[in-house]
Amino acid sequence: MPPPRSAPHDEGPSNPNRLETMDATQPLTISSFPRAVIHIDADAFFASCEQSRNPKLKGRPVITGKERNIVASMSYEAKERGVVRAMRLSEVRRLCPDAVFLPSDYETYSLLSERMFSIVRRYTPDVEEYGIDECFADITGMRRPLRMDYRRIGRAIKEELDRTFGFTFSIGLAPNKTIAKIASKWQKPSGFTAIAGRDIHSFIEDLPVEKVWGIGPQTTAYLNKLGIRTALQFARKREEWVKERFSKPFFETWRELNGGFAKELELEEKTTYASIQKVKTFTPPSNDREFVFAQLAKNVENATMKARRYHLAAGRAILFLKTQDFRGAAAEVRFSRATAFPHEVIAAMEPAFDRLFRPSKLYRSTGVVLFKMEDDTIIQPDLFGVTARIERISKAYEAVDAVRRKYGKHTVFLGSSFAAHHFGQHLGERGDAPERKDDLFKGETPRQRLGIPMFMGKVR
Amino acid sequence: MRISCPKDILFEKLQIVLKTVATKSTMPILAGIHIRTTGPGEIELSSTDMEMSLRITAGATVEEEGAVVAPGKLLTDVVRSLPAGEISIASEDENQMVDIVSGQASFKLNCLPAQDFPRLPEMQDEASFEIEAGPLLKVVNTVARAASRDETRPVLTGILVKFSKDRLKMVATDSYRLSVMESAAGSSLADKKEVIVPRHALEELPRLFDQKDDGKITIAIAESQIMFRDEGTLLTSRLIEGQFPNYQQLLPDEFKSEVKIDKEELLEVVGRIGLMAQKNAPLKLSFDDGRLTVSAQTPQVGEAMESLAVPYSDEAMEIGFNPEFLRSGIESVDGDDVVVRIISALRPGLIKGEDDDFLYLIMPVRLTS
Repeated sequence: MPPPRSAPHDEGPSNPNRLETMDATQPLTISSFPRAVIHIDADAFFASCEQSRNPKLKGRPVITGKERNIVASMSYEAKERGVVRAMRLSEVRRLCPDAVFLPSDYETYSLLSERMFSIVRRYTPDVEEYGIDECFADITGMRRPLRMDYRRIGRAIKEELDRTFGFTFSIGLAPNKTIAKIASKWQKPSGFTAIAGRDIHSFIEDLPVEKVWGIGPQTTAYLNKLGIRTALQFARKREEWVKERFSKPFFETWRELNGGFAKELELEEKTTYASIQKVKTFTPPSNDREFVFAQLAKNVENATMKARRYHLAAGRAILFLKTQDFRGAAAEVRFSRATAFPHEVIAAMEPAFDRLFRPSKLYRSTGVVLFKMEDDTIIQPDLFGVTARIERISKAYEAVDAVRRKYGKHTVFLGSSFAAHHFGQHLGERGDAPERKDDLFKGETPRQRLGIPMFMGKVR
Repeated sequence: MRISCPKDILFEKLQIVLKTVATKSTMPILAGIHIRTTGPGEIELSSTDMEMSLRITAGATVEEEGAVVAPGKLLTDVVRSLPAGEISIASEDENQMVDIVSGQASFKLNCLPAQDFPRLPEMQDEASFEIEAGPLLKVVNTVARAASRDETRPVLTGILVKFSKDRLKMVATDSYRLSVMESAAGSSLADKKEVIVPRHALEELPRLFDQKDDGKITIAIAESQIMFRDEGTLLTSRLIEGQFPNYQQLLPDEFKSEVKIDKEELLEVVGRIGLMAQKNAPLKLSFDDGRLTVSAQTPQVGEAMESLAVPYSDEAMEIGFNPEFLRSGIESVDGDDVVVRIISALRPGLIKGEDDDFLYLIMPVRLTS
């Protein structure tokens, strides 16, 4: 494989003839892969998914995110023409008149995402699903069972993914998650970069510190004030110096920049939540109280459904409304008893909603956050039999949840959210549904379809 | 107005009336403490948050009669900060400034308009009766903690109080437990009276009044108010309207098992093992032949268990309780032993002393998986 960019080579220490100070050429660690972690990142995932299942789109600038009127993902063809994420579609049209705009089809993306993770799991059971289009995999100790060295394993995963999906993935191999993230970004698209511990210094020498995973704008500003601009400058700081100034997550980042292994992979599927949030945007913006409230109610239904799935009940909730000019208003609601029933949450929220809602404003999104979550498997019944009544309601919601699992998420809903279910989330051009939803197999319904992504090309 | 008073007396009385100063009210005047002269050598301090009001008298040197309303919190902080000694308070115009002078220190505080201060109700002597202070305060201390703090059912934030000629009964419940206590209490009341008094008001009583063996407290009940008076202190509170739940109906007629346990020992075990019952996790009581095992388990925290010998001979039974509710019930029992009565894991349990004057009913926690 040719060396990426001009700077370091991924296979060995940097050129000793380079005119640099000892400080910059001195490795941060002498080991190569005490642990071996790979980071896998799909290239332009949403747009690639669309191109892969509809070969007519291959080679064309493809943009997803039509329903939000901004770019959610763009193919590399569009990226080359200067399209960036979150750009308005009108602007994209000027840059790239031949662009294909598609509504997001999350159903297909998540099906392909699951397939991606299952392929990676053929190589190691330790996979952290970090996002819909990226994951970490710990391949430490897999050399012998797979009869390949770490680089071979990384390349094999890449080859299998590229071949299966018909689009490319970028992969980074490193002794930890932080460096693996840097490695996968090193060469994009379709890169494979291995950074051994002893080579880290040459990869992070010119890397701005804000490009390091987990270092946000606040920390960057602070680091800059301390005279640190590159990741290497940060890595070279003494342990005590870092400990004195930064909290644990940043100390872990520092350790990983030095080749250590500090951030464990999160392998367990989430079984609990500190809070549950549901937000939905709708177009056109509305000042119809019933409609906006129905949107909020629908979010409550979705949030409480998730809470019930994890056997949680919320002690408090926040509701928020956003207007067309992106201003927001929010209120907090407390419940006398933790609940996961939408009708109780909605009833408690209605007075707060009416305080926030201004008929003179146009609203574009509503949202709800449930928090102060409690385990609802521990039931403290009361002396007056109120709990017994609640349990009867629980039974009703168990039935509702069962119907939804079988026939689709919105087959049964409360009257409060009728208006939000009755009309599409987005009207007008932005309301176009993904093509997948137009064409149904026998037995499929618009809400419940087979768990296979649909191929849209013609097989001759 | 021109008065003077020793610091420690003034500070003590200010601290008492500060309790009913309302700092977050929409009516600014309620943040004030009203000071007025009531006689040649006496002043009265008062405050109200419109739910409750407090009035208390103090001996003082009165040079010139009058009244003033000063910001309560600030006035108390100023008096607290002054050294021991005589403090003089003077005001030329009751709506302007009040001067506070002690030694070389002098303060000028802006007053609140005295005419805005609400008129506090007077005690009608013909409607009042006397009751023994000891039993009254004892029953309050035992029962009040079981009242609810949840405002969604206002009636449960109150305590049902039943007065009769020689008996006193109070009932409180937060709907998960019920505390009932009856006590002999001599009073000058001819008939019976039944009222629901806010928990906050009753909880003030032990702070305001001494628990002297022979002490008496005067009570007056008007349509929507109750007043408690002892010497120079008067507490007024609004009564809670509504129907208190029929608690008699909640008390099971029969229990299946009864066991008597040493109170101190049980309290210690419950306190210890309760450390491992966090995040709503219950304390599990497992009764078996001659033995009670108390255990607790919190996922991701840990677990604990401890056994103690008890005279239990029925079939084995397990029941879970909220550790806080259980401890509170055991603590409230008078005497060396507690009697625990149970029916099943799903029915309420009862905690009491040797006699039936105190009953504490507690609903078990159910575990479903």
